[in-house]
Amino acid sequence: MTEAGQPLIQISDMTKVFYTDEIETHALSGVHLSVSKGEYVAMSGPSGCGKSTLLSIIGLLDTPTAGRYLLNDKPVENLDFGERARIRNQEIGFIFQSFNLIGDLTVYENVELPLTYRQRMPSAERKTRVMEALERVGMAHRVRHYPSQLSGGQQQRVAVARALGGKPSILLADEPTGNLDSRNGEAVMELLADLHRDGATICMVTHDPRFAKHAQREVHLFDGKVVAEEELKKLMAEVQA
Amino acid sequence: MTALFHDIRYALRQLRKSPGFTAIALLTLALGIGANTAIFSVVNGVLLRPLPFHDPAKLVRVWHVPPAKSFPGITTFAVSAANYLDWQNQNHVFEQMAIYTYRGFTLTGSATPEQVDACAVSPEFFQTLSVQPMLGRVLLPEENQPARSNVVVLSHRLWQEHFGSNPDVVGHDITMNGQNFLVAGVMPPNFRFPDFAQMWTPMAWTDAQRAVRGEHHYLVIGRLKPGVDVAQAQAEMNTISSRLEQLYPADDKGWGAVVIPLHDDMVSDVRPAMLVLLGAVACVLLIACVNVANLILAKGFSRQKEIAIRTALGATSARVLRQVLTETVLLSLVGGALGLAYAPFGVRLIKAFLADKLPQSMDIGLDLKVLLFTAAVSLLTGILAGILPALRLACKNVSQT
Repeated sequence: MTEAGQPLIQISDMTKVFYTDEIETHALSGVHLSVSKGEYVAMSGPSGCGKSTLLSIIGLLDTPTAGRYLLNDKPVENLDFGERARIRNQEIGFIFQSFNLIGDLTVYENVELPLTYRQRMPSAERKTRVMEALERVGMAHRVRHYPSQLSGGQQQRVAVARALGGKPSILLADEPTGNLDSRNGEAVMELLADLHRDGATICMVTHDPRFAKHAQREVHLFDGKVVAEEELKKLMAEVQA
Repeated sequence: MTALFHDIRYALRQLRKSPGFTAIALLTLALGIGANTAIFSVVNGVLLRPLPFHDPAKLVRVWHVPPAKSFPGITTFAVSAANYLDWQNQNHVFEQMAIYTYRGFTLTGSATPEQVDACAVSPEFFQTLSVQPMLGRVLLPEENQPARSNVVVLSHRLWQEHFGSNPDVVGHDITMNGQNFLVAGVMPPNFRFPDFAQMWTPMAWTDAQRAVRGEHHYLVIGRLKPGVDVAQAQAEMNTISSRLEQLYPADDKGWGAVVIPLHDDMVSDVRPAMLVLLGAVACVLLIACVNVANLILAKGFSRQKEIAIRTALGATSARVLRQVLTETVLLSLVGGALGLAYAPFGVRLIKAFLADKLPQSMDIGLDLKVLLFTAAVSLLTGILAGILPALRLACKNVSQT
């Protein structure tokens, strides 16, 4: 485990280019980013600025076109599919905008799912972890329910529990309040803040400045580059003008 | 093991959730696997299972080989009495040799006379096949003479159908062709050789009949001595045939002998039909696999997001592959069980279709080998039907999450 304050994520000069037919889309252009253990970072910017692409690469759901990515001091940008799956399972917890719970699994089974991909975890430990995670998000009383029987806010809390169950190094949240009303959105943000207070490292993508303020640090992206807040305001003003 | 249990539980839930898909896939697989099981039951009973006699590998049929000029295209021919007796006396390769032929009787004594297909046999017949009666005894050597030959051994079926399974019939006379015949015994139900035989009676040749060399009415079986194989027996029969050709050129010139394992001889007519049928139903199963694979592929489109979520959460390609295959293998195993349930009807249909070609002495039905075959075919079908959809789903991009 990395000690608090030590860099957990180190990204340098990262680019990501999407090729469709004869069109090149530069989603990321020379991004540098460092996230320390225990930090709560919000990544914000206008639509299409590359924040979700960056989160996908941080979460090893996608690979960069070029650049360096160290996770826990280990280079991970060129790992094979199986190794990336293993690291996603053990080091990273995902919270998605549309919850992404599996409809045919109960709340308990959804939270248990990533743990079943760990070959050597005894079932007793798995059960303990699932119940601890569900209690942490206040959903332990709904273990036998299916996602369709829950509200959006409850589903997102289950998704948070699923991310927590694996005791990951980092929680990645992609617009976690995007599909929620403001009250449930606030509740989820409170939950993330609680988790951060307990020591979790969180990287959250949001386009909503209200929610970005919950984070310790805000990283602004514009046209695939990390920019300072003042520069972002200037660029946005230019675009609007 | 826990992961497999999870996969099975989830697969069952998926199948329950789509009853239409499940029903169509199960029906398709049940038809394909059931047809294969039915055909394999017959192939197993006829081609693979040994004959229901002691040490069946030692049993052979000995045919005459007629002169090619006189009988073009005919490779086997019935045997004459005198030649058989010479074969029997001169060979050193057979432990026993026996000869038999058809003999018809009219059985009277009950309300309606009945035509009975009997088999006239030489005294060595039952010993060659190494079979014992269920009741009473078999025919005695001393009964193989015309004056003492009014003796019969009943088949189990005739004993059941005509004599009401009455054990007291043994030791009593029955009337056939206006004469009394002593019932010496009753054979067990699994003894049906030759196919036509409802009863067995002594050959009881007269001296004149024993001397006939040029008339071919009889079939010959033999049991090889320990350590003797078919090739050795064939060589010996070639030697004897050459000798007989020289001794009796008028009747035996150009006549040889061929030794064929009894099982091969009995199934030679039906083997090509069986193999064609087996190939045909294998094609049917392949078509069923393709249809089910298409159904799973179509269903897979609605599961792409689920698989992407699983992959994002850490499922490897192998793990996704296994999960999808668990579903298809579960489907095919249930389909196999359903197919097994209707296979007996298929067997009956095939038996009716090939009634005149299938040897009656062979037991055709479901046994452990057929069950294992069905299990293996079901497993293979599940993998075949599922592998392509599984590979497609396992290789999907996780960014769909």
